[in-house]
Amino acid sequence: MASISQERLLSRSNLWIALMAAVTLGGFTAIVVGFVIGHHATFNTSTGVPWGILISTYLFFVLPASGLCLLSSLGHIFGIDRFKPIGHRAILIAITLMLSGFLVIASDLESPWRMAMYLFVTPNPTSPMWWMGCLYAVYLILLILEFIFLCRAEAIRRLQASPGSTKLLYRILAIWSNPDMEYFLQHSKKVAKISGTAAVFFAIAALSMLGAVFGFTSSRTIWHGPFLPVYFILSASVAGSSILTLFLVLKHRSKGQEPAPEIAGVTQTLSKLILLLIGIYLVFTVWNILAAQYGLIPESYNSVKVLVNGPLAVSFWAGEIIIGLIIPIAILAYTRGKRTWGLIVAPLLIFVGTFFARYNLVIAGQLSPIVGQDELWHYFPHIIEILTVVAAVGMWLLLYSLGSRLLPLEDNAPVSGQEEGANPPLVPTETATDAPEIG
Amino acid sequence: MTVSRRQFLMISGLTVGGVVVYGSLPAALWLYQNNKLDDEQTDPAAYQAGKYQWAMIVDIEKCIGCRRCLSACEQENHVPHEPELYRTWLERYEIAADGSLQAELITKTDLGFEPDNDSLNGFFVPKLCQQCANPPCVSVCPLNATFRTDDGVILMDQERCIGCKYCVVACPYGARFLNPETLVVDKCTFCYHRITQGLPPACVQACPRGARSFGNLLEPEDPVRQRLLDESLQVIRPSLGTKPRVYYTGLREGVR
Repeated sequence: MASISQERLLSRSNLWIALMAAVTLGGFTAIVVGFVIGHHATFNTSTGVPWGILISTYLFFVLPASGLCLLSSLGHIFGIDRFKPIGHRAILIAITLMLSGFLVIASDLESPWRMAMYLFVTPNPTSPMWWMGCLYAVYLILLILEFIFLCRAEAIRRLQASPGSTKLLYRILAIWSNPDMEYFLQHSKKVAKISGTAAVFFAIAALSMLGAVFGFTSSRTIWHGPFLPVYFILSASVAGSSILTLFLVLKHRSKGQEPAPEIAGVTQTLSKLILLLIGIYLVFTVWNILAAQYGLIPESYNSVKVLVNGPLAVSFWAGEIIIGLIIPIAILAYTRGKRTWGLIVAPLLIFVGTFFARYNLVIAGQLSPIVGQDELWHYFPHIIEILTVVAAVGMWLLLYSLGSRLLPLEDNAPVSGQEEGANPPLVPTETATDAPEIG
Repeated sequence: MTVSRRQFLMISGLTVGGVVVYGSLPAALWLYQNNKLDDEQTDPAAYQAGKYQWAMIVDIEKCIGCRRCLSACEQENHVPHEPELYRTWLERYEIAADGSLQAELITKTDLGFEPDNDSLNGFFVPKLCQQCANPPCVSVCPLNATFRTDDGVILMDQERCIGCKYCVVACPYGARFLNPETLVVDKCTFCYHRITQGLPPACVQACPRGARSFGNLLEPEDPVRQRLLDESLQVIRPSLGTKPRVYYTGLREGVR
């Protein structure tokens, strides 16, 4: 460690990682406290509202994780050249999102270990939740497989470019290969492509199955039906493309310089794609609300009233509609993907908006009692629930930042033999190491 | 007229005896009604589930909202004494002055309720797990931790429930809750430990008005089966196709 100067150690990127590690650690403490004291005392969920913010946060994480897989496939599977440089990063974000998603869902269960024990021992094939668990487990394995072999191909390529490299991680990734042999490079790309193609199918299957978890509950009219499985696929694409754009821009444009032309190109294309998707998403949201209230049919009308003019009104109008839809649409339409600030603010708002959208979806389905009671149920997350969410977000950003920094991602390729620095920028400058490192 | 000591004692004895006999007749009848299942008391090991299809009839007109069923259930099944943790509960409906139906939940911790003098009418609806023949909770449970027995009762496997609460969300009757002591989902079992020994469920036995009757649909002579054939009984939310095994009389429009 002596070779690392103090200046380097205290760089903003290191501070960011240390901060996220601390946040994650603090959040994990809260999760342990929740299990030790018991969820009855540390969760504000109840008989009337059994699913709280942890379920909605699970959706918040795993939806974009599936959407990102679809985006990464545009380049690596469908062969659209423009999207090729984003494949690695998209999958890294997807994997880290999935891990955080599993963390929150496990924290919500009373006996998560039994899930692992009995998942294949006493399966219930009529349960969409069982299918969802299996599909997402396979999906995560495929994503990791695809990612390892993509990184392996990149590591082999970089070792080929600079045979004298001493990077341990690269050497581990390129194990059982000879940098001189083109065969291993091609082989790794092939494995990545096969697992990536399978991952796309599993992403769509898992997403729509997750929609069915809600869509199959016939007694919750605001969830029931084929809408949510379809809505989740669209919503996942919106959230996935937003978070990818945000992280790409933070990674490549925050260093006070213009990014490489292919990155600038793909972020601009992505911003147009987001604008298209979010426009459709807005239409979906509007029709869902309008259809549910039309005719004043008590059960669906009561659930919508909770959103539009009830306890969730602020979260719905301010969080989901204004922050998540109206402002970003205006920004994207105004900047047309040409301004850096627009490419940071709009995707960030959309992504935050999806957090509110998931919360509203999960809670609105439950606040209006299905039993004989006029008074609405009450729910606001307990501090332990909120800290669990913080832990998951912290863990996600921590794992992503570490991965983005240490792994050979295609879009942070060193320029012709540049090997120094853990995370060399596309065009290294003096200020590079001082730049914020969250993307 | 003089009354000898012997006559006096005879008259007093007859009077007291008559009162006792007369008074105990309905009590005996009530006891007989509620405990007649005792006569068929069987060895639990010899209980053959295939011979039974359990069902309950709830007479809404008879319920006076005394909440004895709620306490009996809590004690019999060791349900934690908290307002939102219940296997059976009451709903109090009132027809307000404007004709609208207003509903409120009455749980075992409620000591009473304020009468609304403006309301035009009111009634109680006792509720419990409807023991559906087509149960949504069983379909959605990812690990088969909840299941339907051969005699038509929905039970929980305490060792297998992971506490995902999907069944609590999916139950259209709000009959399930997470028990904070066992950390698994809890629900009415029709007092399965009692009915397999020939005893009626605790709530049935506790009801002073006989508002809940319990019986075996496979037994031709069973009064519950007879009533099901003779009377026009209803179930809650029939449109969901859950096929409940708890039937109601006098279920009004608007009860959900």
